[in-house]
Amino acid sequence: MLRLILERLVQMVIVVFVVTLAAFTLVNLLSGDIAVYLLGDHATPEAVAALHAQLHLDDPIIIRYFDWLGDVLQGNLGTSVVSHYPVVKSLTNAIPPTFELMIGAQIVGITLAVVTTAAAIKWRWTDRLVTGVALLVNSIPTFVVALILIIIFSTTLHLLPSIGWVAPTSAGGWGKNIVAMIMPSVALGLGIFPEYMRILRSDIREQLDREEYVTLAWMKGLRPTRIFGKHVAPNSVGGFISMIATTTALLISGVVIVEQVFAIPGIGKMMLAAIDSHDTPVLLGGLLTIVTFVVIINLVGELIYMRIDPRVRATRVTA
Amino acid sequence: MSDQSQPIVKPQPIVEVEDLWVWLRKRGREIPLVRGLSYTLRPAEALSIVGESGAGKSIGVRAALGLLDPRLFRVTGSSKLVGTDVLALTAKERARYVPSVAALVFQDPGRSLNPTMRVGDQIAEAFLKGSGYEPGMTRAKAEARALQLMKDVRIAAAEERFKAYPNQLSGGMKQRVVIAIAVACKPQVLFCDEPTSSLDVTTQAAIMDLIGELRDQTGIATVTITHDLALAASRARKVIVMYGGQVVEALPARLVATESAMPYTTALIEAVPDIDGNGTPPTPIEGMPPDPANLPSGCSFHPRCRFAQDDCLTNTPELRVVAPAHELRCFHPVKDLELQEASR
Ligand SMILES: Nc1ncnc2c1ncn2[C@@H]1O[C@H](COP(=O)(O)OP(=O)(O)OP(=O)(O)O)[C@@H](O)[C@H]1O
Ligand SMILES: [Mg+2]
Repeated sequence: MLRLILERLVQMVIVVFVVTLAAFTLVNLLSGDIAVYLLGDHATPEAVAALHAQLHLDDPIIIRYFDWLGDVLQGNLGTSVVSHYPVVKSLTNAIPPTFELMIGAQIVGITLAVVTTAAAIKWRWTDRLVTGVALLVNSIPTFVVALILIIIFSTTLHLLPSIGWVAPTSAGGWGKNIVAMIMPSVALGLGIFPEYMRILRSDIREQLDREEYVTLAWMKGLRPTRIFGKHVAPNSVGGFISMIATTTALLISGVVIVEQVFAIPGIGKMMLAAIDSHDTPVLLGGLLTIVTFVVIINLVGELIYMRIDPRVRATRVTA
Repeated sequence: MSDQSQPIVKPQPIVEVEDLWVWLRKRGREIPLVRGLSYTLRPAEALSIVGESGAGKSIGVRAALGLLDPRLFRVTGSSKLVGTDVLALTAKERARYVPSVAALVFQDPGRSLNPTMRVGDQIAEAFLKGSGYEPGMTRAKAEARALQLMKDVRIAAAEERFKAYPNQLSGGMKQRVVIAIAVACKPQVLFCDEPTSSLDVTTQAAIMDLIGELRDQTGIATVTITHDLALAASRARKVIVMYGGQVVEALPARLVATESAMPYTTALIEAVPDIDGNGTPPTPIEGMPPDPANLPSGCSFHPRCRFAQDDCLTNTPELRVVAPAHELRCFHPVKDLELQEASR
C-alpha cells in the first residue's frame, strides 16, 4: 500500500511536470507578444523592449519555465500581468466555487445514475426508457442544457435563480449558496450521468448474467433484494468509485462551460479570462491547480477502490 | 431407465428429468443444445454425466434446475425435483422451491464465491436468510453451524478461514466452501458441474471423497458432470454418456469397462489412460465435437465413428434398451460387431 502511494506520488510529480512544461511552451508560443498586447498597438519599440526585459520574455522558453517552476516550488505563482494581483490569491478565491460545483455535479450525476440503473435492471420497459433518455441527454451539449435549464426554471417558472455564485459567508448564508448552485450542478451532472449509468448498468447486467456467485446466491434461496444488496451491488461499488475519480478529469471541460454560462467566478472562468488577456501566470496557475487536483483525485479513487475491494487488495498484497 | 438391482419397493424418485430440450435463441434461429435428455434418480443414488466439452452437460443441468435465462434459451420437457416440475413453476415460485430441494456445485470455484464477502458469512447466510433457515435461527447459531460445516468439509484452521475472503483461499478450499454452502441448504439432490476439473489430482480425489461421504451420510442423491469416464465409472452408480446434446448411452457404472457398446463410449474409454486395465496407451478421439448449429445428418457421431456405415449417415438412431438398465443410441454397437467377427 505504502509502496503504491510512493509510486503514484512519483508518477504525479512527473505528470505535473510534463503537463506544465507543455502548457508553458504552448502558451508562450501561441499567445503572441504579451508586451505588445499589454502596451497596445501604438507602443514605442523602447517601451516594448523594456517590458520584455522586465518579464524576461527574451530568455529561452526552457529557462523561463524553470524560473517559473523555481518560484512555484517556493509557493509563489507570480502575479497577474494584467491586474498585478497575486495568482495565489485569485486561486484561493476561485477554488471554492469550482470545488462546490464539481461536488454538486457529482451528487447529481451519481444519484441519477443509481436511480436510472435501478430502473434499468428492474423492468425491460424502464430499461428502454432510461437508456433512451440517457442517450438523448448525452447528445445535447452542456451549454445547451444549461440554457434550457435557465429558460425553464429561471426565466419562465421563476423557481431558481441564475445568479452565479453566492459565498456562504454572505448575507444569504448556505441556503442562498446552495439554491444558486442547483442549476449549475444539474447542468454539469446531466453531462456525466449517462456515462455513469452506462458503466454501472453494464457492470450489474454482466454480474447478473455471468457471475456464478450470483447463481450460487440464487441457489441458496435468498430473496432477490438480498441477492442484489449483498452479492451484486458490493461488487460494483469499487469499480464505480474509481470510475468517478477518472471522470473528474473529463468534468473539467464542462466546468469551464458551466462557469461561463452561469457567471460563476471559478477556476474555469478565471482561466478563460486569462486566455483572453494573455495573462500567462494566471493561466499557468489555474492549470497547475487542475492538473494537481486531477492527479490527486485519481490516487484517492484508486486507494478507496483498493480498500473496499478484497480482490484488488489481495493482488496488491501478493504482487 | 430402470435399475433392476434396486429392491422391489423403490423409494420415490428425487429427480425425474423427462425429454428435456434446450434451444439457444440466436438471431431469430433456435439452436438445439440439449435434445431429449431423460434420467431418474432416487435417494442416495449417484449419477454421472460424461461427455466432451460442448456436449450440453452443463446446459442440461442448468435447464433441469430452471436456471436458464428464458430470454436466451427455450426449454421444453419436464424436470421433476421431489415430485414438482420446476419448469412448470413461475420464476418466483422456482426461486423459492429449487433451492429448498437442490444444490449446485460449480466447475470453477474461483468464480462461484462472492469476492466481497467473507466465506464464513457466505455459509452462515444460507442458514440465516436462505433455504437452511429454521425457526429460531439466530446469527450466532448460524455462524456456529457454518463453522462446524467448515470443519465437516475438512477446511483446516476453520476459525481463521471463517473470516477470510475467497481470494485468500486455494481452489480446493474454495470448492469445499461451496460444498459447505450446498450442504447448509439441506438439499435432497446435489448437482456437481465438473467439481474438480480446475483442481490438482490429489485435491480432486479429496473433493470426490467428500461428495461420496455426504451421500452416504445424508442420503442425498448426486448428479456429477465430468469429462473423465474413469472417474465417472468409479464414483457413480449410473453413467450417462452425452454427445451433441443427446444421451448416446446410459448404463450402470460397474458395466462401463466391460459392456459399453456405443462406439463413442468405447472411444472415450480408449481416450482415458488405462480404464480397461489392459495397459494399452490412450488413443484420443479424432475430429471435433459437432457444432449444435450445424449438426451432421443421421447419427451425430458418424463423422468421427470408426464403425460408421451407410445407414448411419441417413437414418437417425433412437435410444433403445439393449439390456436391463442399459440404453444405447446406435445402429451398430461395438458388441454386435465383435460378435459378428467372432462368428465369422
Ligand atoms: N450462455 C450461452 N450462450 C450461448 N451458447 C451457449 C451458452 N452456454 C453454452 N452454450 C453452448 O451450448 C453448448 C453446450 O454447452 P455446455 O456448457 O452445456 O457444454 P458442456 O458439456 O458442459 O461442456 P464443458 O465440458 O466444456 O463444460 C456448447 O455448444 C456451448 O457453446
Ligand atoms: Mg460444462
